[in-house]
Amino acid sequence: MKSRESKEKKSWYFNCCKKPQTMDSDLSDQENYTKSLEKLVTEQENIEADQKFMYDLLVIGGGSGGLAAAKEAVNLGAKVAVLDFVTPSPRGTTWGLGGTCVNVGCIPKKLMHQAALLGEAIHESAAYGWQVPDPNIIKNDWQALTTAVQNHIKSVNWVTRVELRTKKIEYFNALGYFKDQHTICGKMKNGEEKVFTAKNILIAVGGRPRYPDIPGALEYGISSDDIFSLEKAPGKTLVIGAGYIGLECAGFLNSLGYDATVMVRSIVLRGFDQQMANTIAQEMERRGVHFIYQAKPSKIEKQADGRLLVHWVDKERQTHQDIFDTVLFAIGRKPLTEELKPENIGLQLIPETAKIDAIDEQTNVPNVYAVGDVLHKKPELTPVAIHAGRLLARRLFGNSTEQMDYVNVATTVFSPLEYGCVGLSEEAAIAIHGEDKIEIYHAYYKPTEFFIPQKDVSNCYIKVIAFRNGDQRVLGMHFIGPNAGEVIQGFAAAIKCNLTFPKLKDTVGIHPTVAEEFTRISVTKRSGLDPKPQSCCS
Amino acid sequence: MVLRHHIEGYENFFKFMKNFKPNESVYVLYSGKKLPNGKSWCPDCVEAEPFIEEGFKTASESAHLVEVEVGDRPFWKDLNCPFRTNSTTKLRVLPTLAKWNTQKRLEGDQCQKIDLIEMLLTDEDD
Ligand SMILES: Cc1cc2nc3c(=O)[nH]c(=O)nc-3n(C[C@H](O)[C@H](O)[C@H](O)COP(=O)(O)OP(=O)(O)OC[C@H]3O[C@@H](n4cnc5c(N)ncnc54)[C@H](O)[C@@H]3O)c2cc1C
Ligand SMILES: NC(=O)c1ccc[n+]([C@@H]2O[C@H](COP(=O)([O-])OP(=O)(O)OC[C@H]3O[C@@H](n4cnc5c(N)ncnc54)[C@H](OP(=O)(O)O)[C@@H]3O)[C@@H](O)[C@H]2O)c1
Repeated sequence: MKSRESKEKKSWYFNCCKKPQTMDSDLSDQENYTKSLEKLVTEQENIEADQKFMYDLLVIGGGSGGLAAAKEAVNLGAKVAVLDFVTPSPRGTTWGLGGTCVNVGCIPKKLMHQAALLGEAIHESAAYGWQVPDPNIIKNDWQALTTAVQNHIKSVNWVTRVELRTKKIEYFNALGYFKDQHTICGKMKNGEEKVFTAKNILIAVGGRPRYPDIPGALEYGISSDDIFSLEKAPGKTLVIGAGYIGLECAGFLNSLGYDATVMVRSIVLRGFDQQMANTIAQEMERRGVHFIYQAKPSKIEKQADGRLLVHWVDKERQTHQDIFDTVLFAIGRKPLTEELKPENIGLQLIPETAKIDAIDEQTNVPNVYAVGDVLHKKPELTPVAIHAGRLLARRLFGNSTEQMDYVNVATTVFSPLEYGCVGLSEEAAIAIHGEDKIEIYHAYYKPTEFFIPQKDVSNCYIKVIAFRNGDQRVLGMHFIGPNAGEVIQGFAAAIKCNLTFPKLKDTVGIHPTVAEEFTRISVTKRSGLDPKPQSCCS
Repeated sequence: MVLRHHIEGYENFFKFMKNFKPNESVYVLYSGKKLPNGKSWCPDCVEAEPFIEEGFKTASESAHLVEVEVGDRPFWKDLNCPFRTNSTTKLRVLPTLAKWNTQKRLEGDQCQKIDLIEMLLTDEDD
């Protein structure tokens, strides 16, 4: 064990030293002499560091960001350990290695969304000639769905374990906290504590769902941590919160055949383009999701029959109540930073949110870094955590200087009719650049596949925001329709290459697709012309 | 030492697996049918054998290792081979060493890594 450790270390260290050696070759003797003295000193410091710590990098949190950084770091020759531990949810749900995205986030969400889309397709297929018995009696089996989803997750957990072992990343199922700036204590499942030391420490602990401080919330409520493995079908469900998670969960539950209601405190999808946000809410409502606006829950009680009586207050301070089988909180997430005992190393957190305001992923403690959902004012998205983690590892162990670019990150809300966007919202573009500096192009469109099954097209809508003058650079693109994520990803690359509106118009579309609508867009909001399509292929 | 079982073919296999209770530790090694010379037609299966023997030395007394010969080469190479299409076995590669009733499996040359075999035997989460 020990010997392999030092051998691996050396190879990384020698890699780092190679460059100066060749650069020195044509310096004068005197310079050479001082240089090599300097080198000797740093060499010694480095070796000391090597012997002082068990690891070059210790990652706290085996989720999207932490694992990406760990894998990149070992590829560059560093000695790496990962601590990951899942504290059970209030209702007792736990899961395996891989973090939020794999276990209780993106992956199960996308699979349930897919289940919902397939249900929709079954109904449409009759219009296309498929002899479906009677679409109305076709039901989704919740147990079969959750079993399939959980089996997929478990196989990803296992493959991740195998990958870490193969790459020689040491994994510990332990809950870590800081003892000092190079020392982490890890509490194992059996209560035993293990001490780890490392030169660099990466905080990648992500967050967990918040619960409101109202009677019954913790006892009877569930969150996204529980829904994807719920033993019993959720039944009539109240989703509290109208962010991504609230809308996505209400959307797939409704499509799977459960009565779903979203309780909105203020607005839908804060931070997103509000016209687009309201359009998806409208589309969800059209499909049968109920919305209660401007309301806050005040109490949840369990009735004798096991169902939940929820009380809420509206903006006139009137109280209302209704009975649900399931209450799901999706009111935002809390980073798990306070549990790290940040006071032991003087790690600064933003007081209101407990997030970390890192500069280039470095915290105020120089050898302690952070990536992912714990970062202040950065998008809480898996690919963001992964990219930042990977680039950080390259800077730490691969002589790279490349920094993470958090601007113009594309995202998609997987509501029944999806919404994808990249860049600025209309509100943000106006606020930053002023209304007369920007042009807003928009269009309703009719996906070809929607005609035969007579699907409602009233909310298929796109919007492009660009500078009005100069190069007419594109500032934001918004798409509501099928496969929004697939559509917007490529345009995100175009925006990264400084896409201009003339270039967009000069792009030849792929017909018949929904993405080509962006190349056909021409009506400006300013013109007041009707953005509704004239006919299908005009 | 583990309790070893040997079985041939798809139907026999599923019939046999019914004997186990859900809480038993059962491992299944899927490999190619043995040729008259006693070796599997699948060279990777032959290569993995000594590693699996070694890895299972430390396995608990109560664990079971079911070695199943899935069939001859043409049977396996058929993409509709029931071992491939069945949603429980869903084999992609020979050999595969799997823990029954879980999603944990080692495929191909992973079966030649003692530390991975040990991890399969000792990992407690499901
Ligand atoms: C329902 C839902 C749907 C989502 N859908 C999407 C989506 O479609 N697309 C998308 O891009 N993003 C999505 N996200 C967001 C995405 O999951 C997160 O942005 C991403 O997982 C963040 O990665 P991370 O590395 O910061 O943390 P995480 O992936 O949360 O990993 C942190 C890990 O650290 C562990 N941990 C915490 N504290 C400690 C400790 N003290 N010691 C040891 N281990 C610890 C945690 O248990 C966890 O395993 C979704 C999130 C949710 C909840
Ligand atoms: N598709 C994806 O990429 C995806 C999917 C899911 C999640 N995620 C990530 O995960 C993060 C967390 O998602 P989230 O939906 O939980 O959080 P969120 O986006 O922060 O939304 C929280 C919602 O809950 C409301 N709320 C907050 N406190 C409340 C209270 N006490 N009572 C009632 N309502 C309350 C908020 O309303 P106000 O507007 O009034 O504050 C808001 O609508 C997101 O930011 C996102 O980055 C991504």
